[in-house]
Amino acid sequence: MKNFKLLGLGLVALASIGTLTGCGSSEYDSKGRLILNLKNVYFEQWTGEDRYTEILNDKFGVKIKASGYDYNEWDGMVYTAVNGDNLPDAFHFNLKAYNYGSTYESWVKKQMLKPLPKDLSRWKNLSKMLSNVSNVEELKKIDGNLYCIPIMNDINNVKKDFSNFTYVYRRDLVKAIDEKNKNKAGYEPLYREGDVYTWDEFERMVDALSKNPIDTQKAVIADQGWAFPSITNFYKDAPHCFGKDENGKAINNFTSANYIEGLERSKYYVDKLYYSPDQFNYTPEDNRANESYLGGQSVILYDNFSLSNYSKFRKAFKKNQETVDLDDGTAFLKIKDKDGKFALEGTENWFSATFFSYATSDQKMEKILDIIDYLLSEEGTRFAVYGEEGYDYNIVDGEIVLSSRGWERSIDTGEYPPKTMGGKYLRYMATLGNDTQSYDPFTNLDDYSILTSWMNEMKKAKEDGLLRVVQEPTDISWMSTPTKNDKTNSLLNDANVSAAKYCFGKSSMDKYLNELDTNNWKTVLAEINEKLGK
Amino acid sequence: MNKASKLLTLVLLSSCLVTVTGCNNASMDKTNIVFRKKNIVLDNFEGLGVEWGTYEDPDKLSSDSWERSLKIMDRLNPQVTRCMLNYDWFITDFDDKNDDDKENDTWNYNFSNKLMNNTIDVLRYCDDHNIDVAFGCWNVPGNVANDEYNMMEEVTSDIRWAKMTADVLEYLINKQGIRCIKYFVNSNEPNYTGEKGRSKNYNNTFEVWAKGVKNVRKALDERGFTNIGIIGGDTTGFDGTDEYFTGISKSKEIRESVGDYGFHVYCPNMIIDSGDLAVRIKNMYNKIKKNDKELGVSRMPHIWEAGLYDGKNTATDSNVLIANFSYGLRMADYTLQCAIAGVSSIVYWDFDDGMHFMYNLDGTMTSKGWGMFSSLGSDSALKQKLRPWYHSSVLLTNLMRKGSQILDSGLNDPSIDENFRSMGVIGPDQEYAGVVAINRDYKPVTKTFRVPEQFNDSNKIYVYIYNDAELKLGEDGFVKENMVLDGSLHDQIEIEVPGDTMVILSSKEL
Repeated sequence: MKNFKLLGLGLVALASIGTLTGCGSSEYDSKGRLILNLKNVYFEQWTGEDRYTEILNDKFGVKIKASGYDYNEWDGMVYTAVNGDNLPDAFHFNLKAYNYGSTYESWVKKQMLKPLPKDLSRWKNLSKMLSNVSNVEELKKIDGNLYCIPIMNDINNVKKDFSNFTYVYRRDLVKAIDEKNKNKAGYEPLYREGDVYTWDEFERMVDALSKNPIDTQKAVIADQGWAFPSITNFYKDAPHCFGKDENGKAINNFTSANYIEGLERSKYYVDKLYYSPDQFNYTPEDNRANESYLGGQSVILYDNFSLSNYSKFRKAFKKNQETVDLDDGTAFLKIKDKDGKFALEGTENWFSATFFSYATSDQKMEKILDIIDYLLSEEGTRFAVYGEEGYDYNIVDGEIVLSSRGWERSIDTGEYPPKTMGGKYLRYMATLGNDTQSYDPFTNLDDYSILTSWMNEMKKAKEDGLLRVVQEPTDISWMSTPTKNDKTNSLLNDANVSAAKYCFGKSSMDKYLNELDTNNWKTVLAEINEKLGK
Repeated sequence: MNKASKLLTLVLLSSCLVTVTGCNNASMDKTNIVFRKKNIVLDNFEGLGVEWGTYEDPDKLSSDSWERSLKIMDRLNPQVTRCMLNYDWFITDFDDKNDDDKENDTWNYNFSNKLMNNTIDVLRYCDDHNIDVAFGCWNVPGNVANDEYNMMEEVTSDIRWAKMTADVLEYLINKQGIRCIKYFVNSNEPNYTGEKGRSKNYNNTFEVWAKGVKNVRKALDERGFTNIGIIGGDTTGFDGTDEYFTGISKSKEIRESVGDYGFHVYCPNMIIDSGDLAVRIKNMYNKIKKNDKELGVSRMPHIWEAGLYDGKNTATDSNVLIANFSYGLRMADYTLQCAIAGVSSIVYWDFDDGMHFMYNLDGTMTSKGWGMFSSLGSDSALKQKLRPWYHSSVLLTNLMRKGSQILDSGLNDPSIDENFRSMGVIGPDQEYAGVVAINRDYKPVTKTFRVPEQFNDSNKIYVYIYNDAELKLGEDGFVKENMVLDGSLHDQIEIEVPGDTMVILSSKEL
């Protein structure tokens, strides 16, 4: 810690000398504008060279230099930059409750981060957004400062606390089985109106899909590598490592009775070949389950269906399965557990966060906050979504009218081509932009409508007490203990591997339980329970 | 009355009938435009052209496709082109002697392959058609993942790069007798650096590139290729170009090592539509001229890759709007703005989708869609068709010939009129004259044009209209005039130019 602090002071001192001797010009571009170096996973190949960024540069007297992280190397790239003391002015990190201690808390203690100003009243839109961030107090508990901008999923829908990790299925195939059997005496149709199935109905449908395979089919269900075995979602009490027993004591979620019951059921699915043997080799980074569904090798898919993922998925499905009705082939499957409730993994209302390097000057940070605040305003949001008023769009009788010049469709595809809009990229530093999807010209309204309808149905179910949101207890999630900080990630990965090995018959239940009773597990649970006072 | 004449009316007026219309500025008549020699912006234009590089997979090019491509090139009739390849395609037996000394490394070349054969086919065509070529190599050789030649650290300043360059040029010039190479491109877009492991250019800086230029200059001079200039920059974007141009202009040694000031512009629509492209280029040149008075005199400004930014699909490296009429109108507007800003030649990106590919992770390859057509039989019929911007480019390429004079209207400043631009062209040796008028407004505008200067008058005016309703193609599929009028550009011509349209008046058939 001390070394980092000294290093930090040393760098600040050097930078000051540079300025005094006139060498600090790298802070400014040739037009005298303050250079802002920003890095974010959503920037991808955007470098800040577009016309819209220029407009923002001129408006705020800055020169934005943007770069992106590769998604699969994102964490590692940030760790490397932190360890090498080579951080840009603002950077993006996938902050989660389980890595809070090893990253956020550790970086704050090492003085690698610059806190947001205590008084955010100057940035009203940002301030309002931050007031709605779930568990924001957990991020302030070190010293009262907030050291990042959590990136809100949807600033207009802050209460949504469940994820979009769920199933889609080939409704067309279920209906086809019904059609084939409709004249059989006593045949009970598989398909359920609205795609809502009880647990027993679901299991019957899975079995029928297994017994009536299409030519390409190798299995019924495919889970993305990070999600196997998704069947446990209908049994388990916590999404990841830690749950609590009836006395409030922290326990290993993976050895809880409910999880084990779900695991046994998952093994049954594997044994019945509802899952393909290939499933065992899927990794958290690959997309093989998705590809298997698109290729017709599986007919139920568990994945993360954010709008962008769902749109991409539907587009690919249309291309791969030309003869299948798109809506039937990509329908959301809504399954109720044995208690008659839907079950979805819980989530914060934000995903990842924007951080500021300790070396970022007050002036730079204020400029970045100015830009973010503007992009969260009504005018700034229009700029981010539509572009420049007068060129890309006009407001006529209070309505947005897109110009054919700014929004020209391809004569080949009839679609709007990709449009590099700096405002939209920069807005990702504060929100994923789900608030603008309903009117974003790039949104496929069919996809949006289906997904929104599913989300509204789940929201309603939650209001009616029919949705079980599987959450980790908050006091454990955001707790920091030495072993938890250091080991949670590997414990989680190892547990998932052990679960998969058990399901695919590569280990016994005894062995599974042994693997989840290591010293690390014992230590971490002891540390947590000590903090919980249990 | 045909459709064209409904939209366009031409009235020949004698100058005595001209009524000077009122305008805000007493000395400025925005309706009656006269192209006079006092408004010459380029006295010796160097011509327009298109990128026509080595086909990365010549096997995909059938002989029929090649023949068709040549016919398309014939009609385009470019006078300048840029031809790029990779040295990796030819290097064999590389031996680094297992030491750190790069001077003692040895390697051979296998020029007897389909890629070099294709390169030579392209260059011979250029020789035969008097086309000036900027020839170059995309990047230093080696695979980005393992850098087997250990060149990515030093990039083009690596001493072996200069030797390879001289060797390849020597083969082409001395062994193959190629004469058309006028410039060497010291790697593509050196300012576009990227990250280690993903880009061969990750370690590039202006200083590194400049050292490479000096090495290459020396190597070329030693082989007697003193007449081949090195492109000064070949950078992309205004910011990166500003850095390189400034660096070149401030160093006597570097500016004397380069043959031009060349860069790439993929321009956002908004900048073209507003007329701001010309303003930006002029501002940049004015800044550079403070350091180097020879800019525009002995070191000419060129654009070696010209295209539109909006519509770019990064994932496929294509432009989704490439087949839209608007692409052609904007590229014509781009060309006009560059010419009046003093750019002496422009090379469009690019000729044929079939030249370049995206190599996908699954082992497949897809053609990059930036061309004027696709020569690939595997592409859809729609993609193989000549795109509208080919036709607009044919008109300009055949009008703005090498040796032409480019005359500004004096009214192209966007503060005067953001939506209308025009220029006069007097052909080489005053063989012909022409007017290019581009209306970017939605509404039609009526203007008169006159070219009072000396040229060999045919007493005919060929009228070409470029918009999605009026573009006229002949039976051969190539653009032809909408009408031919008896008359002279010496007289005052009144035109109603429809919205979003380019009209070209020419005393010769284009």
